[in-house]
Amino acid sequence: MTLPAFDHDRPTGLAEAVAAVRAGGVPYCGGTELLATMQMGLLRPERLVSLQRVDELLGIDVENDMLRIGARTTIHAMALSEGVRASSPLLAHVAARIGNIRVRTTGTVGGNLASSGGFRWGPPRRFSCLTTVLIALEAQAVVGDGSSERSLTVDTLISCPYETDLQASELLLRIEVPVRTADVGVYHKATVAERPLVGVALVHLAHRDVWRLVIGAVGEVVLVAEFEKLADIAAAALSGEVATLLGLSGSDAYKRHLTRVTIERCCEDAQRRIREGQ
Amino acid sequence: MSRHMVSTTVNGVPVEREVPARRLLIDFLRDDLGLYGTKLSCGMQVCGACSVLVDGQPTSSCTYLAVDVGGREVTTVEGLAHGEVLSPVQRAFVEETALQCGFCTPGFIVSVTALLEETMDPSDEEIRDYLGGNLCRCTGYGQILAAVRTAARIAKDERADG
Repeated sequence: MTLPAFDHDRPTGLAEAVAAVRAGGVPYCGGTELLATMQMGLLRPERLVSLQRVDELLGIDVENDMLRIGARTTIHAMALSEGVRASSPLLAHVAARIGNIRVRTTGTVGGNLASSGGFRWGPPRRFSCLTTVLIALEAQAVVGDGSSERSLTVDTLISCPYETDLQASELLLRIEVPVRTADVGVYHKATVAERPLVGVALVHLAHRDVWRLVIGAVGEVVLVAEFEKLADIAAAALSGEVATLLGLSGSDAYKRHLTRVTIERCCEDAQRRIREGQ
Repeated sequence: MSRHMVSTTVNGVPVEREVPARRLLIDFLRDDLGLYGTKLSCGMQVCGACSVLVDGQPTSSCTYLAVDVGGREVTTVEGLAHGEVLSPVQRAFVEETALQCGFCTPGFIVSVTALLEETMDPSDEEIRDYLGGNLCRCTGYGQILAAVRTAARIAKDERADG
């Protein structure tokens, strides 16, 4: 197995990493998406910048009812974290079911989001499970270049399947998820080869008393809708609104059918949790 | 293309080698270090045949750069036994005849080793979840599941014996 040739930087701090990215290097941490894409010949970066020694991107903590997760946090660490399980049980639940164990121990939150909209220098990929759930939870992505940082919603960060909103010298620093333990949240997906073909997150946001539904992975853009009541969610109508991605994983009709079924599963699961007082 | 000096520990032994940046960990282990226990199969981190432990965490060596193990500890299937004494997981796989062609076996053994470090007595559901990324085309998985339960029992007995 041979990757195309490239140069490689291993910065030990955020400022050094940003400088390397500004000079044209492609940042990565676990590399689960980037290296696989390179092996398929779809991406040939001239320089890679490893973020594995940038400690400013580490950490999980809760402060002022906000769960903060550093971009270098692995998916597995997120799934096992007591802080994440207590503050955002849906997020921990979804993280524990992404890919396989090796993808989870190597892949990171930052990499998952930053590659979800497609690498700046390469092909796009679909909205991931994490992206879909974070949008449903109204999470924020904090990006910066070491001297300043800004906060934007996850669905703004990933403006469409071909782009992220990251500026040339910015890195994704962390995500921030509001701690709302009263919220009821569920996530269901249909997968092909460990990747979501359709992923649906449904969360009751208690502070606004609305049901927030997000449909990811199946379409070119993520579909976000809010409803006053669970009974208002019409799965068939919503599945008709999705603009499905063309591909080998099934016809348009099949994907819309899967979308409808997945929405219905989410609604049934949410109703059961309410009945059981979860 | 840059070359880098990689200083790492592999199966408890310090290793220092200069490698090109593009060298994958599996190629480093097999071709540079002569550790052929780790197998290349799908090359896409899906099948688990290439599983190794990096700082104790299961990792697809087919999709990991050798330069990224600098300063870290790598464990391959060759590093699990203590001299001539097989590890509890290895003994369990023998006891339960949990292999046929054996190609997937190193990957399973490495993954099960990591599983039992994390969860000493996993349920069948936990075993299936954890090993969902390790594929076997021969056994039908029944003996492998039995081997995991046996390995947990052996490890528990050995801990009790001190």
